[in-house]
Amino acid sequence: MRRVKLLLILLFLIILLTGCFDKSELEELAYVIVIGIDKGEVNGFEVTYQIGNPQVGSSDRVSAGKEPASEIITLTVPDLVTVRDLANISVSREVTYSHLKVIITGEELARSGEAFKLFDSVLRDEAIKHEVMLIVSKEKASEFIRGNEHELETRPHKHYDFMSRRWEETGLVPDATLLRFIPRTLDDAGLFLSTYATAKKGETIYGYEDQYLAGQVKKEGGNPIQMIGSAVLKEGRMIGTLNGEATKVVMLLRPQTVRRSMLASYADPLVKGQRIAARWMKTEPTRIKMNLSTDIPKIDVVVPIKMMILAIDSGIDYVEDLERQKILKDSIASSLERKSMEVIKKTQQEFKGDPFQWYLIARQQFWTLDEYKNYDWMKKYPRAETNVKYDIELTNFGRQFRPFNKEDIKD
Amino acid sequence: MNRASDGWIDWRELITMLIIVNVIVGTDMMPLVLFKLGKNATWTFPLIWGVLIIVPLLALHSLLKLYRNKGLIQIIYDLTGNYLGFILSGGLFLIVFNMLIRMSYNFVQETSDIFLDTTPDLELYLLLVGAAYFIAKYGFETLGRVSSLLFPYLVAVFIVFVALARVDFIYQFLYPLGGPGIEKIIKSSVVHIPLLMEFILVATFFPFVNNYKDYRRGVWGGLAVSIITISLLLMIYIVMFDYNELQVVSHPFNLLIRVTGISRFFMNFDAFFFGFWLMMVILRISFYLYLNTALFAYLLKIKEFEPLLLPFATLTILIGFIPENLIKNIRIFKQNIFWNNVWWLLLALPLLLWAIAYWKGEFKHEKG
Amino acid sequence: MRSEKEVNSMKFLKNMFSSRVNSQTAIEQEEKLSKSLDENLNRLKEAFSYPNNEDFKVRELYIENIHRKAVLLSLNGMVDNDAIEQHIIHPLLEGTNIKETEEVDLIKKVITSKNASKVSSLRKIIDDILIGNTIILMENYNQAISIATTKFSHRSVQPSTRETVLKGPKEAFIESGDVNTSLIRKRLRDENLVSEKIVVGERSLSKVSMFYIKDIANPELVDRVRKRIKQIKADTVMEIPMLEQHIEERSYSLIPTVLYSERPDRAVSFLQEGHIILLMDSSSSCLIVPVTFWSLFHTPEDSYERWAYGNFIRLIRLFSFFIALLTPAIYIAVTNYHIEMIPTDLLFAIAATRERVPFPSVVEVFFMESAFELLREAGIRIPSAIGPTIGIVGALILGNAAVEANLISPILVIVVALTGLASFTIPDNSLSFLIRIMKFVILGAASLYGALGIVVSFICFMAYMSDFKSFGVPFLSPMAPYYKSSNDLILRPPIWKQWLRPFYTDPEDDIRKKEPEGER
Repeated sequence: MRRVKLLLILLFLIILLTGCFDKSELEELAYVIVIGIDKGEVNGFEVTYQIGNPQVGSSDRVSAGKEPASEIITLTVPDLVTVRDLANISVSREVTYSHLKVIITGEELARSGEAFKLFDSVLRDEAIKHEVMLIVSKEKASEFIRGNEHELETRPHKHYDFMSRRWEETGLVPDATLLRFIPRTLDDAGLFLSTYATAKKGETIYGYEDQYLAGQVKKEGGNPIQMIGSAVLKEGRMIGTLNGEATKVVMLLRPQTVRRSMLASYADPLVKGQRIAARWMKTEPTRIKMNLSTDIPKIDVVVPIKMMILAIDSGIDYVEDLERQKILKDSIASSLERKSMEVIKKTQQEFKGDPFQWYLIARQQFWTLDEYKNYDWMKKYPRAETNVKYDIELTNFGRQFRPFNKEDIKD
Repeated sequence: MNRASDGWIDWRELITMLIIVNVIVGTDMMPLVLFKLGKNATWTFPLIWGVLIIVPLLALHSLLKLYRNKGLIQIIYDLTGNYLGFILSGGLFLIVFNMLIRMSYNFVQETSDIFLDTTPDLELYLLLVGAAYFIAKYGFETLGRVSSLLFPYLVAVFIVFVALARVDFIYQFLYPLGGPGIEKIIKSSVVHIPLLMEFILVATFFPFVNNYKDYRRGVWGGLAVSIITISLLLMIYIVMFDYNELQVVSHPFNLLIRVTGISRFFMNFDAFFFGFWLMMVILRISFYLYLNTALFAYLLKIKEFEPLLLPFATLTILIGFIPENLIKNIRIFKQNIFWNNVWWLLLALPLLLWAIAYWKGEFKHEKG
Repeated sequence: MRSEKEVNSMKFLKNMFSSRVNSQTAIEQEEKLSKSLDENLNRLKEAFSYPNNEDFKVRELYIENIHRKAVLLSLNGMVDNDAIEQHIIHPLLEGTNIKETEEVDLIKKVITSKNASKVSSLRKIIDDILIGNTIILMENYNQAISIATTKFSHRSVQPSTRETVLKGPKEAFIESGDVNTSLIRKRLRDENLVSEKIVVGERSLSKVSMFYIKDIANPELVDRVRKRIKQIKADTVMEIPMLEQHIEERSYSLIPTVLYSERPDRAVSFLQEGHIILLMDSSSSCLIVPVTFWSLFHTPEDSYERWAYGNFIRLIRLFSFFIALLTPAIYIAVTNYHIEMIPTDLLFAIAATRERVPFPSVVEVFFMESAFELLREAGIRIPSAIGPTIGIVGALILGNAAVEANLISPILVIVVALTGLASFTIPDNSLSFLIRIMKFVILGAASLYGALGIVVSFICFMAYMSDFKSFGVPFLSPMAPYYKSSNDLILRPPIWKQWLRPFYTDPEDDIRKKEPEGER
């Protein structure tokens, strides 16, 4: 018996000690930080990898001075997964997606709607995180990646890490991740907004701080890329763009609380041509009421906003005078409401879909899924009557109460 | 008598063991099947099971109280005689054996899909079932002790996990509340009531529990906690991914732990949660291995059943290699004649036994 | 203080005697003394190889009052010469009150020593001489008088070196049974404190004193331990660490079943919880049985410090317990199998340094861990005069130079140093060994299967621990299985709330005091 036992244990150990199947040493892997996908020439896709170089900027002991911070290669392949092996024709290490930060889709491919099929293979590949950011680039993704010259953060992962954190705050782009993209596309009830970016200068226009689309901002020096505004995707296919301002409005109208602090400027209600700069925050969820009993849905939206005045160009004292405060509030609210209505109109007429995630609220109005599906929010939304109200609360006036006026300076 | 080493378990060990063994249901392959039926109202399933199982459990408990030191199988034999008793207990044994094999196969697949894709299944089998055998070998009380030791940590990790995941919840995904309609919810949930079968089958081990009061406390407490936890888990899947994606994803739990992280510094904590999940998995396999062997032994009236653990562990591994892939496995699981009929067998058995006992006048006996 | 030379010479003597006894002049157990003094003397001289054996002292006396010859026998180095002089020789020679009667009772009337008895068996006489008694043989008597005059040299009570505390008593047991007893009795003035003496070994004369409190300790447990000690089949049980190995129930197990302590205050606190303490004359430590994980994990300081501080150090130790056990394994699992868990920056830093290291990371870890264990062992074995060098050598060569030479990556130094530091916080030596050995087992498992390997080995370890028993007491009780206790486990309640004795030892008297009422 003892011998049999010993033999069994030995057998067990022999089988077990052949382990190490999935083992890979850190340095034997090539960490893809950015994937760019474009339409290929015939059928397949052009996949671009930006692979981070661990030896640059990570440790003083091992810095390899002349090596670049990342390597960029482009391959033509049928899907995102098998390309990993193909990449080894030139990359010396095993390619892994475990530290992937961004997937960039070229606008051409996004408009063709084939990108969604690709993400199916992403879902199957467990190594890809669902927090991966989605960006649509105006030009080809490969060109965007090559054009992105992030000088301050030499390593690409750091660049995108920091970038995404700023986005969460500024709201100029939607924070589009794979996690949200898949359910929303599958649900087929709303539009998905993806970050819109370019590395090429387009025709610059002059507008207020957020009325740009990527490429339209006049900018000198620094990194040539511009990420502002959003690409609108319907059923996985890109159908249009929203500029920075519209994106911000969409974010505001979405039901969940978004704890952002954004800087924006508004027209001075008393002096024409002057602007008032403010920082505002949305700390409470948007209050949305719906009436879906009729064929035309009625939607009432109230957006609570806390606002902090930062700069008053005209020097008019809005702080100590309560009446002026009210005028200011009303004017900001009405300008916001006007803008919101414009965006809503655009989505209803141009996109025929709802990027505001109001379908989530619509879901609450039904008892069973079948009822909800039969109602078909996607079809009903373009005809909806909407009413947007901003509930502005002036909470703070920055560090000084009243702007300086000329008399102060003269004395 | 030395209180120190009596080899019995008390309610603390029973309750933690039952919870750990049962809650895994919410994290393995089953949600995929359930979400196809229940859509976004799947989270109500466990609650329905909980309600439905109350009456059979009450009947069973009154029998156990009556028979004091006898387990489920002895009671079956006592009440229904040798012939029918053998058929009934044999049925239970086959259900459990079936469950054990499918379950270990699923866990092996899941582990290999997620972390160790190139490691051969045989090794994973040897590790998981081997560890389960190792624990089961020490007996029922060790199973209970390990569970009660792990339990506080598991609770803490679960709370941390929910707190971290909470950031991405969209509660509106729970609507429309009715899901596919109440009728359909109830119909499709009833069939899956065997997912709670541990609570009935644990009666086999009634003689191992200190006393009836401890047993009752353990089972009811365990039932309440685990149906709430499973329900909560299913709810978390829904508010995280929405039901559409859940009908496609094979391992929602592992997807979930992949998404969860602490700020941007620790984006991925999955291997950490995965570790705790694996411990629970091993305990579950261990429990079923022990249960299965015990049922077999009681069925054939073998006194010493612990030497049988090793053959059964080996058998589990061998049979586990038969199905080819996961989808096929699930189909077998669903179409299995056993599985489709197990639910009413499980619900009816305690009631049947109680009725026989009542008819035989056993309860009056007790009073007189 | 007893010098090493003396110890050696004593051992030598003992060995010589035992070999003598074993040879041709073996004395039968039942052999009695005869009436002839010369005959008796010759037998004994022969047994002790007199006159070759110079330590065997024979002093002849003539007691004038009773007109008899007497012979004093003793072993040099084991007896108190002053005491013999004062309490035996002096009274015998100068005692005027001895009357000239036939049946004079020297024990009652003459000898002033506190401990004396009559013996008639030759074997017993030899045994008595060997434990340091002085024997008086008288002419025409077939009985001898055995007087306890044992005096070994021993050092004075000194502060504890292995189990140091910042707050609390400092003294430790020393190599003297009497002193040790006094250290215990000083703290526990209880008439129910029983000390049983059990002779162990087949030929040796070592005595084990078993202390327990009669109305607290469970009689079954006392029986079990007593039986276990009596069962020992060995020539000699020289020191208490050997006794530990003789009485433990599972010799091959990694887990200790006996607690080895040199602190009398600790021994006393265990006595009060119904445990049993074993002491030997020659050892400066005691054994405590049965033990649980908690008794190995706790230090006396936990209870001496105030509630918050005591719990804080406990938490730190719990944390370091897991660090010492798991860090190298987790490092390997994460860097080889679960790469996505590492923040990208750290990952790149490790990968960059790893790029120039020629070995797989498992080899690195094994190399460094072994080096650390080496260092540790060297630190203990090294003569204290050159001790400080080891620190320099260790830090310099192993840490910095290995990194410089690209033998290991820098982060590994942190991993190993952390593990090593954490293992030093484990209070008990046996527990520390357990963790250090398990560390390698888990590390091996992790290098084969990553997190899966860690989990499987860890849970098996846990199952083993919860099944393990020390003298019938489950190792992890009262946590699993649960017993009523004062909940002095990972954390402890304030001292006034600890009113229950732990039930796992099944004490006769469950409560220390009345349940405190209300909150304070």
